[in-house]
Amino acid sequence: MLYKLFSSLKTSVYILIFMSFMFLIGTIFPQGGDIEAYIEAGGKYAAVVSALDFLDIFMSPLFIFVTGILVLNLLACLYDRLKLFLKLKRKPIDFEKLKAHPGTAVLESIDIEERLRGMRFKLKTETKGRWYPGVKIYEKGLQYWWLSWFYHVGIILAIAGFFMTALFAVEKAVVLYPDKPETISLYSRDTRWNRFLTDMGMELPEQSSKEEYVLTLKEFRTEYYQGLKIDYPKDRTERFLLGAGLKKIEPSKKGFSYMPRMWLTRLFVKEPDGKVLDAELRVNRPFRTGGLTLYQMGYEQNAKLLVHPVGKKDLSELSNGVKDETIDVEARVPFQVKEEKGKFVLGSFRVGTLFKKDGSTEDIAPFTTLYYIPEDKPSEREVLGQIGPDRSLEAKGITFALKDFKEASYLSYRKDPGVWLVGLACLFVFLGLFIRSLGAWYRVQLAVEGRTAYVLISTRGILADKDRVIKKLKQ
Amino acid sequence: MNSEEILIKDAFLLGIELRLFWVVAFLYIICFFIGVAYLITSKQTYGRTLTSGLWITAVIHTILILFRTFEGMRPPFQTLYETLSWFAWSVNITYIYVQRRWKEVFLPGLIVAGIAGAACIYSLLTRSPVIAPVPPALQSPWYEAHVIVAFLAYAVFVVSFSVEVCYLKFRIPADETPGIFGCVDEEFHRWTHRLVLLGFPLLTFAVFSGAAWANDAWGRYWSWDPKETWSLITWTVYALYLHTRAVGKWRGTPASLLNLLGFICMIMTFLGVNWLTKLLNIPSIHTYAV
Ligand code: HEM
Repeated sequence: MLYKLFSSLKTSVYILIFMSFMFLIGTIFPQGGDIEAYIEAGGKYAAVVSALDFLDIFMSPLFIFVTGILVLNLLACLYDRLKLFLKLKRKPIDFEKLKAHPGTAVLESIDIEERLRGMRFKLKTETKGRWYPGVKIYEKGLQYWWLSWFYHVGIILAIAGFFMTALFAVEKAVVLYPDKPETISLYSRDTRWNRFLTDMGMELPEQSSKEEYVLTLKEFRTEYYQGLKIDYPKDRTERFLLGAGLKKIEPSKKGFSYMPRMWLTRLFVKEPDGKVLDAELRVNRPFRTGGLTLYQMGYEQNAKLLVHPVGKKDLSELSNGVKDETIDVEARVPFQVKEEKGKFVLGSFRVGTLFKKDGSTEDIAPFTTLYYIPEDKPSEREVLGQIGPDRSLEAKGITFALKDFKEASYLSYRKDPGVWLVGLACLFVFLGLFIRSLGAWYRVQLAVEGRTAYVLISTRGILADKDRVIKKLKQ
Repeated sequence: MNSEEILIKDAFLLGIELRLFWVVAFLYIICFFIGVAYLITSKQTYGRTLTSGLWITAVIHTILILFRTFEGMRPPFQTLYETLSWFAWSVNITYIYVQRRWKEVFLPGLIVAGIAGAACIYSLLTRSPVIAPVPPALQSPWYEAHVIVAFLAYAVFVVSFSVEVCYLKFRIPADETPGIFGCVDEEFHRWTHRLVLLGFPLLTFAVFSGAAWANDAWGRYWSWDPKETWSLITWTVYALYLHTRAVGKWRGTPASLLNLLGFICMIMTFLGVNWLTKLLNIPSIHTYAV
């Protein structure tokens, strides 16, 4: 009874409908958020959201349970159909039904079977009629039921791979500054599996030197394009006028912008066995060795900012309570200057190589923009001007000067034992599906009565062309 | 040529491109109205004109796409401005390719022209056409494969949707003579099925290639980001459609409705996610394409 329920296609349909709803919930509630933030943002259904884990729905017991049911369902289907396919009994249609079928073609019978064989059809089975002519089944093409079986297996493998990732993957980040080697470890007590073991009261080792790598930065480089700036109107009528040729599109007076082209890191990687590798990585081109994969995520930039009132050069000149300050600043992180109510923030530094529109390149002397954030309008940014290690800036009665500018490569690293399985599963599913959908499979049911042949063709796959077979049989 | 001169040249080319794009958008709209005329009058001439109109538009739209590729010296599907045009183009090309087999069937062209025209107008009115160079995250062969195949899948689904809508509205029993729809009931249902059968592996590849790309770029092949999850919803809905076709009872109207639902989910994945994430204030790693 239970087996019957699980091996039924209808059950799968209901499960998939249910899963779609869970996916939908996962797109509405921000995943990975915490419940306090949800309530703070005005979330009204806190009790339901927290009881049903809506903020981490894809790791919630309910979702795992439903996925488990889907896997059982798939396994039952696969087993059921495997049994069926292994002892596949083809049962030709009755002659009378064949003759009456609206899809049956009536042809001349001479050489018809030779022609079928000539088209590489294979005789699979036949019935011998006592009163009526017998009916034969010829087939050609990859048997679609095996293909369909194949990609359903792929789906189970993909789910298994997903769970391996969820349980065992280690993902961390490291910031590499010049001349400052960092040791990273692929071991984590924090994987879901290790947390589970800890919850079960098991002792876990602190760290394993077998999984430690030492990273030393050789070079981090940022590259920029010279971006095109054009004044494109916001107003829709103006846009229409542009299209109608009644207005001209103009280059912006603001000149060029800097647009990221690539971030690139070269480093030494010392493996756990002491071997040192020369590594290079960039966005989309990670570096892999053993179980470790390193990814270029971005960069971190910081500097020291010297701040003092305009006109005063050193500490001794300071008066009326205004203090000279040295502030450690990081690009894009707001900071405060004493006596000033609002905040300041530095944009990303432009530094590295500029690839110009005319094909030449240029080294960029580091610079960035300093912004002021008014106290009463924290979402606004007032541009104060450009600043760099060799250009100071005066604004709001303050002189800003930069020193010790540093740029670091921001990498993430990962060990994920589930990836290969998901990859393999994807190949299974895709190939199976693709061949099943596109390929051509034919079944011809044939009965010969005197000089007349009755031919009924069924096909699978988009490339199957029934009419062509009929045409060839007629020739 | 120095940088300033290049900038002036770029602005000039962009001006030409914009005009061409408006022409393409208008051609789609005109095709749409020819389709409406066909729907009202049932005159074959309108039907044939609609198909010819879509062919002509396809040629001009292809020139536009090539022009944009030449202008940017990179694949023409990076910003939403571009992908909307690419979407309309893929839909039209797929439709006229598929339509060759249907002799007297013109009606789905009406919906195809409407969707393609709406995508172009939306792009022109709401998006900036300025050509951005390829940012680091998009410099991957996976990205190109991903976008091309995803839009091919979308295109096939749009055509399937167009046929399905016509089928639901104008279906006629097999024993009656075909009317405006040009063909009898079951045959059309089979066509929509075949189209989804083609679109589904393409969508599957699109999801996988997206995951492979994410695995290279971020080191995580799946993040349950709203866009990813919506693609999974779309995938599941089409899987459901294919399954209902295998269950006798659900083969008819329920399957048709699932096909329509699949289309809605597809549009949500393509455009709705951006809107939804903004509305609900959910962070998404994929909205940079806006
Ligand atoms: C994530 C889950 C699943 C996906 C994505 C999926 C996908 C598909 C697709 C695309 C087809 C249609 C291909 C065709 O028309 O031949 C199909 C057919 C089929 N599926 Fe599934 N399936 C899933 C789960 C299941 C489960 C759990 C069962 C078990 C009951 C099942 C049983 C079948 C059967 C019997 C067919 C028809 C066989 C055929 O025509 O090839 N599927 N599936």
